[in-house]
Amino acid sequence: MSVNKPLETEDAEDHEIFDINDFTTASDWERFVVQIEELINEWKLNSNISDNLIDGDRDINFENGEWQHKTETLQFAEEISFTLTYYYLTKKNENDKNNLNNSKKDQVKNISIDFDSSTNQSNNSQLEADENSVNLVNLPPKSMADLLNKTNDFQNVTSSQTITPSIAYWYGLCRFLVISPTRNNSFIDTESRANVILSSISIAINNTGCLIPIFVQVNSINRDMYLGLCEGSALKTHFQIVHFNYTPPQYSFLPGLLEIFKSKLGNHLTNSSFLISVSVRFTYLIQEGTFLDSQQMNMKASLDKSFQDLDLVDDRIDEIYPDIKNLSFGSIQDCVDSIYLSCIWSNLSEDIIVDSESYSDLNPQHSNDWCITLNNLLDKCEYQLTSSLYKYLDELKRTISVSQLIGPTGLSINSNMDPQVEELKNKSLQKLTSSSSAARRLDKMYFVGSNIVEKATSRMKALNTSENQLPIDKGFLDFIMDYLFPDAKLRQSKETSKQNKNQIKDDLNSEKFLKKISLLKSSSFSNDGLLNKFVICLNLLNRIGQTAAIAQLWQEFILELRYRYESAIIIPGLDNDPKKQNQDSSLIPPDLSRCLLHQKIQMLNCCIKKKQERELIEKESAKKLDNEKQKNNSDEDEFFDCEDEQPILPFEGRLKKFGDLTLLNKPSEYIYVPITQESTPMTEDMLEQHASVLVNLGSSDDASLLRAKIQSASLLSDMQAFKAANPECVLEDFVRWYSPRDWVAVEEKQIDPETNEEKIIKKYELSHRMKIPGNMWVDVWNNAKPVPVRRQKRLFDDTKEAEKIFEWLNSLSIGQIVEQTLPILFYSAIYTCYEEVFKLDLNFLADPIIDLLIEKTIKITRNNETKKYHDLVNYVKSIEQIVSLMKSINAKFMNKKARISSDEEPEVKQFVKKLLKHSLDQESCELKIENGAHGTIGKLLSRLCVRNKITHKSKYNRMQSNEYKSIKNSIDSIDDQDDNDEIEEMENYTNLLLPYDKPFKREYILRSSVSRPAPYSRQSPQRMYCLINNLEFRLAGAFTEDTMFF
Amino acid sequence: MAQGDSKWQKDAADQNFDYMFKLLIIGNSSVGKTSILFRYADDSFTSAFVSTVGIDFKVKTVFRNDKRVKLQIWDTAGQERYRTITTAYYRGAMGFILMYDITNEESFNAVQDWVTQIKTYSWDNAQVVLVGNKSDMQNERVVAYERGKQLADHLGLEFFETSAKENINVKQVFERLVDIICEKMAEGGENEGTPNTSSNMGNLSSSNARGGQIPGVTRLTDSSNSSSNQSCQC
Repeated sequence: MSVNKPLETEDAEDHEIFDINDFTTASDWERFVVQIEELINEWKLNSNISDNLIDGDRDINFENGEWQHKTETLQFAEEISFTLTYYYLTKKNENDKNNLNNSKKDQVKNISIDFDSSTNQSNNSQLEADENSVNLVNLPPKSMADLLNKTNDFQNVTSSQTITPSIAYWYGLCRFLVISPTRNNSFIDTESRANVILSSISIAINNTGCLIPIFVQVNSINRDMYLGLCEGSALKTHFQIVHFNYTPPQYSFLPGLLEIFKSKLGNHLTNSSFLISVSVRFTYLIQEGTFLDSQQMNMKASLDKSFQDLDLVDDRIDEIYPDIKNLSFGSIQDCVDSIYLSCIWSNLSEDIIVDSESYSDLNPQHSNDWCITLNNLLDKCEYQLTSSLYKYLDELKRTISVSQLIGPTGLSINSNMDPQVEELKNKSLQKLTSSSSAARRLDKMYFVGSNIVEKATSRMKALNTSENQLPIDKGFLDFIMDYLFPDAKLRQSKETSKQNKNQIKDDLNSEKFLKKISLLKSSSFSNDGLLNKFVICLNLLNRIGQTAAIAQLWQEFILELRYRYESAIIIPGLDNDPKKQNQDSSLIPPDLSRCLLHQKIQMLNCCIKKKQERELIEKESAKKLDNEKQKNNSDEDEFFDCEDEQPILPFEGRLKKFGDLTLLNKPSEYIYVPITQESTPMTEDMLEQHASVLVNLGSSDDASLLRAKIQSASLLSDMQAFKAANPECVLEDFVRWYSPRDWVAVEEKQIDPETNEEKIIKKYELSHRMKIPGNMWVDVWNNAKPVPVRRQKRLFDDTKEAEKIFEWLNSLSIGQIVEQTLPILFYSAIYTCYEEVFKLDLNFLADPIIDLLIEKTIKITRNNETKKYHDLVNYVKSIEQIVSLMKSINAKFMNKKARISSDEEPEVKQFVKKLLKHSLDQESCELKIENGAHGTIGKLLSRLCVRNKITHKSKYNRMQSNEYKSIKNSIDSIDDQDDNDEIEEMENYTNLLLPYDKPFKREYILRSSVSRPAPYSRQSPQRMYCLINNLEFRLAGAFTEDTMFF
Repeated sequence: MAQGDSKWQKDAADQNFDYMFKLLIIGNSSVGKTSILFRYADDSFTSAFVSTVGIDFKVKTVFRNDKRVKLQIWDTAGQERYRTITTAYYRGAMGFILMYDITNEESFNAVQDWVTQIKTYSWDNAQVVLVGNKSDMQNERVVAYERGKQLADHLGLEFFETSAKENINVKQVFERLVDIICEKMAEGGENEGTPNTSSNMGNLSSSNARGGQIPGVTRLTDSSNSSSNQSCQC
């Protein structure tokens, strides 16, 4: 050192001289020192202030405090830059408030916390104000006292906001400054460089009176090595570090470490003159980290066949094909990376414990201080549902049409589109008509077994396109179609599906959930409707077979619908209410609260139903012709007993008697309600069209009249039917049935000719409005001829409507297909999420997310905001994360091996949930285990860990380089064979916990209060932290000496 | 009915308004639905309007917080036979005027039925006002004001007695309904926490910015809907 600055801060004289000399701060080094001093002053860490400040924070420890930091850049010479960072603990509560305010601001401004020190500053000044000048000159600085403070031993220093260097952990420091090279700068690699910085620090500390230790990072950054200095109260602490990549055998146990410690303290001391206290932490690896790369590859390779629902495997076919019934859910790999168990023994006296290669007193079973650390891979895992949703959403952009993609020639991409579409349409129509004989044959067989129906469509399909070009093989396609249209098997499958779903319906919560989710504009109200199943398959096929698979299944699906329409077979699985389904009598109009695709298919069902009815009537009437002579005309005529072939009878199309009312003009005849045409069912797009037609007429009176006329078709139809059913009826009769309120009582005073008394007689007549001359009702009545429904023009042209629907279905591009099916897919996704959450009893965590997800999905589905579906996937992902993690944790801690008794169960469950909750917040979560080895959880872990040793042993041994060779090895391997049978496989998750008989990592903290450097010096804190594991050997020492008495 | 909105929007584009509310008047046959609509929209009254066939509508523009709100008020046929036709229009309506006739017990008894219909077919956040019409015909009154009020309270609805003939409370009914709808929209806006809207109609615009969470609201300047709605016109 060229400049000889006195180390003691003595008096003003020095300052004055320095101040004068200050103008000569010409060298780089001097300027560097000034920079440090300026920052120390700026952060108010100089002289007494800093210690006052610390005093205020005396209660804060690593557990209840929150780490903060401030960073500034320093420049050495022109080219080398450093950062000076101030790390400090603040009280959590106070901090939380700050965070609330700050975090929002930070998010908005997107400013990294590193440079946003203003709020912290104000925080500090607040503290200053509180704690005024308490003179602490005679006490060692807080930082030195911290060295002996045991509360922070082995306490985690990770914090959500700040990445705190291990310095805090090694030394138990609550405040410190670190000078480290910036990344693009070369690190401090030589001792002389380090010394330059250290002496700068020393000068700065002395000039400012800073009581906080300052460190400089040396050597390559990843080695995490620091040198440091702290001065105050005429004491000086040197912080030093030793770091090796191997453990020197002579220092690998406590005696060796003690030897180093003692030699550092000085040879002038006799062993009996001071006491060294020892704190130890052994960390055991009880769950090894998965090796992501190789494992992931393996997983992916077997992915397609790996998720079968084990409950449903009763058929071999199920084993061949992937699960088409459920959306695959959860992470592909185990999302728990590794689990460590740490056992702490604190404040032992050096002479009472034995720790050596052959024997150690430190048995985890005797420690009451246990801590479990769980590292998760939540952010790195791939989640099946999430990724499949993303992939499906990706298809939105595809404007290619189905026939273009898998058209009959198979070379569609470069050929012209339009003729090809036409060609396909014509072809399929041809095939349909040409195979009509087959279809008719099948119609008979339909009652035998429905599988044949599918076979028929497949055959048509086979005729249609060359099979070998398609992504899904025929067998699998048949399998899917069988599943989608079980028909004859319907009852069976319903029972099983009910069993599956029952568990979700038991609970009150679930009712609420089902109610909420039913607001979604999707398909059926349950997850096993036809379209739900169909969309789940589409999603699966998209994942396996890419876009073409969507096209193929879609085409097959439409062909099946076409076949069903042609053969008048109702499409199953559209209405979740089985009662409604069985009521064949009424047409179920499309439910406008469902998505458009669902409405369209419902509409198709209306068409099919109408067709069925027509065909039935034809058959009936044919039958009637045979039987007609035996038949009497009765009043109890059934729906189809129209007797229309008998011209003798003047009435036609009666449904039933209308009460006891008789015709006004012919009191001997009852009024009959006619069979009427049902109003046209409409899908939302039809309705909109209709509404826009009405709206576009404008709002004038004429327009009103026109609108009424447009809508009068059904009135005319009804009047015609009424006239046909009630010959000799008048408008009054019609009104009495149709609009009874327009048949009003009028009171008339009459004078009784006999008694001459005034009597009030009630007379009925048409209401005023019905009597308006030339009004709509009268007009239509006058124009209506008696025509029974049978002979009327159809209001609902099912043939035309069905063709329109097929046209629409065929016209959709891949992107549009995806768009139309998204509401249904997301319904199923949410349903699956809830089911999974419910199974694991995770509602307390996941319900808010699910609620939000439903709420957002409802908005998006209602407003057709297709672009926003992407936002929803994140919610699904977080639920998948929660569930996957829980499954993984459960597999580890709550498997059969754990043999959890009923007494323990609540505590274990609570522990597991706590572990889950903490893990969700941080990548690495540390959780204390109460009562260590003697608590419930400790005992559970002991059971889980001691037994399973199996394959991990060899690997472990290799890694540990034969350290801690255990004679138990041979015995264990015998045990293992017995245990193997018991080990159950829980999905993909590893449930084997490793034994904890060999620590993965050993840490020691040695401490003493010793007079240094001379026997007559004051006692000062000494400390050495030691870390030994298979990767590194580290000693971090803090040795204090008296600078006054030496 | 987001798709429908976009089409109606086109029609309405040449007129001046900021928002469009779709309202529906429902209730039994001959309780005075058409009368009240004519009174409100045209300020006219005739003792007898032709019984409505199917569905009809009138338009009235009102001002709320400096914004023009166009009311498209749909008048429905009350006859049983028209139920399936009219209920199809419930979806997308923002407000309902449920009307009964104070001189007709049956129409009052049917109120519960109508409420059920609304619940079944409309969007969940549609607003409803209960109205007892023909309050001028005190001599023939069979449903006391208190009964109407009680029922409304029970159903959680606002209640008015009106006379289309004497023009009593007619305007109030419609204005109150519009107010309730606006309030509801404002609530929705607050829940989302969008404090940046500075205009008087901030809440309206904010909820609209979220894609028209309230059914049937159309904004002239909002063209995002129409682009994504060309999926089907068969």
